[in-house]
Amino acid sequence: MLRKIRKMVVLVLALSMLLSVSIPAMGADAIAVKVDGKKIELDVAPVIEKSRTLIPIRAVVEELGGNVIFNASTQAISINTADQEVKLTLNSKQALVNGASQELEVPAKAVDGRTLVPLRFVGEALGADVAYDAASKTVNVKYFSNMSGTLKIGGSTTIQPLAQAAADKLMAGNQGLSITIAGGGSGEGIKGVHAGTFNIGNVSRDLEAADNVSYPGLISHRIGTDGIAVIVNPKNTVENLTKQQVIDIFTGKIKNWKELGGKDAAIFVQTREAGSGTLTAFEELALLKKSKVLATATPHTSTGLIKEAVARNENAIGFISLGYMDNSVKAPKVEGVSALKSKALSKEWPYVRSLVIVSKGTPSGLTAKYVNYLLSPMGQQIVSQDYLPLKVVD
Amino acid sequence: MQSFETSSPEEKLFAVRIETKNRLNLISVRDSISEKLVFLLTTASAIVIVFIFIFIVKEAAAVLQVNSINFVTTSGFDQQIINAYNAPADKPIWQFGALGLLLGTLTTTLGALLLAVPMGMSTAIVITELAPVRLRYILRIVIRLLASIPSVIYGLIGLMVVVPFIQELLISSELQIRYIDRFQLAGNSMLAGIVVLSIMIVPIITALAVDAINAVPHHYKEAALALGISHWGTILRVILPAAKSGILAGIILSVGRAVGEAIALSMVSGGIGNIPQPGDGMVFFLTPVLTLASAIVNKSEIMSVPTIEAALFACGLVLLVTCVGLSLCARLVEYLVKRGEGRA
Repeated sequence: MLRKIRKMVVLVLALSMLLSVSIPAMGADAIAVKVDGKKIELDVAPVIEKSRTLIPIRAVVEELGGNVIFNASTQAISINTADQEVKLTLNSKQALVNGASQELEVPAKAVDGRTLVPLRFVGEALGADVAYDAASKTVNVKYFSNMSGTLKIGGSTTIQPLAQAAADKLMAGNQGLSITIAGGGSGEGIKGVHAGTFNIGNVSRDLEAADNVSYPGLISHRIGTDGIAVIVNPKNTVENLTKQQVIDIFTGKIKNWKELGGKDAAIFVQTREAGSGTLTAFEELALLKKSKVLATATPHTSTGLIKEAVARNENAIGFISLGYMDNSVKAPKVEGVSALKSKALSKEWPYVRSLVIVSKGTPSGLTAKYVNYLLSPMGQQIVSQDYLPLKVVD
Repeated sequence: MQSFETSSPEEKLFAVRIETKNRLNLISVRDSISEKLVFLLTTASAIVIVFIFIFIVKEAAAVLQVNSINFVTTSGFDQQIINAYNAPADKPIWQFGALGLLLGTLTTTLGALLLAVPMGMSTAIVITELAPVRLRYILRIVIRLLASIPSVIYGLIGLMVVVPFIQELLISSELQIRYIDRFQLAGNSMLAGIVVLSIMIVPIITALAVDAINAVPHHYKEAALALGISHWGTILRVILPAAKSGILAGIILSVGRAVGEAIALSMVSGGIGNIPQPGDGMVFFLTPVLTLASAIVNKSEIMSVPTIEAALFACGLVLLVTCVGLSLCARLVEYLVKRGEGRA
């Protein structure tokens, strides 16, 4: 009985301590920040000064698809999105928005070694709606949830599915927004944007010098990378291939693994059914557009099936997008370069192409928001479902 | 009430007559309505079938006009599809030949029948005549269950078990090297297709044969046994012949399933439309083949190209005609058997 009472006392004490700790934390200065309804985790609590909210801005800007650069020696803060550029200096009331000088009511300042920036000023400069809800002590930033109008996109069939996925997400969150996605290939994308048929062109390669001559004034925004790995069975002893050997294997000139230093066994080439974007990319990048995969190769209808076939057959060879690599198959080095996602981003890996979206001049309005969306964490998540996003971990 | 009491017996009788007549009229009206309704529904489903046929022929027309009979007498479908896909829009390729696919379909189906009919029949005989009563009950449940497993499961099992087994048991590394210029001997083959298909259709054949045998009047068996014919002899000479048409119906149904099977076969049979050469000996059965139904599924991703769409619809038409042909064959066999017995 006595023991029970003692337990109760301890419990009550513990509870009261917990409550006394949490009450001040929920107090006057704890302001939440939401971007398009999503709560942003801030590592330093916001500060209110002269009724202006100052917050560590990086998390919010990245949510809008932009980036923040802080130069410690000049104390300059540079915030960039596809369409806007905001420059601030610590403790200075002067700001530059797209080069035009503007006066701040409260300057950016350093608190505990972190830079805090006035949220409303930066948010509105980037084109977002910023509203403060006093009841819930929340700053609501609306950027991808206040879009309306029409946007026409077209070009590369490689990018088409991910563009469609991004468009579906955006249209689901915006009543008055309509986005159409057409195919036609990278060339059509460039042409269409230049002619004004498209607001955005999807291009599955970097813009070349020739493009800039024929279609001047286009600006490209890289959204990700498509890298293709040549895969073999984990038991296969061949560790290195040259680019020429890859061509010879996939066109049927080399038919036995012993010609490559492996065991005396036939090479079973696995390929994808016609119409696969990976096959098109592979023939473009590895077979240099000149030849096709040999006719006796076994065609598969999906990445999963070709990988499964290579994992099951010791003598098989195939190709998949680098984003799908795992331990069930092995990727030999090509020209001495390991098939790593990081090597693909640095373009050391030979079978790489950039995925870019192009706009005519600096994008603005809806076009800019679409570009920023694909660069934001949500957009990059969509890219990473089939390809390599801008930041990868091996 | 008043009027009823005053009316004469003749009038009463007359009233009853009219009532009966009205009732009869009502019944005949009701009958004719339901008769017409049934007739309407029957015609509707018949019309749907006719429309499907017309639709497929219409969609396939372009390819059939260009290729006519060559569509089923020349081969090279896989390569033609790739060429058609890569052809420039102003110079479309209309030449297609699906002989390989037709042969792939026929060889896998007939092979599966050769395996599955004896297996299914013996299982049915065991279930109906030989097994202990309690076991019969369990076996029937198991067979019904097997018949309802989706084909993709059979395909997966085929890919994981049958294909590696064939490769290890029948294919040597030397054989692979010898044939690499023509096709890949990797276990994905006509044989794997036949094995998977026959596992798929055995339950259908068994289930229908069991029903057919159970429907044979019991006094046939009793009479045969009374005449001193052995149990086995009774099964072979009395029960099976009497159940023949039901068994045949099961076989026709299973042929339909085998010919139309797409997913399982596209997983295990090799996915490429080679023509098996009888001169290759055992390798004949190890040739990777592609069936009409699998081709439609595998190539459907690029249906947006009009030439390929038409070619796949032409495959569908050949498939339909093959199905009809095979079931007509079965009817012919039935007719010939009956005539042999002097019943037709």
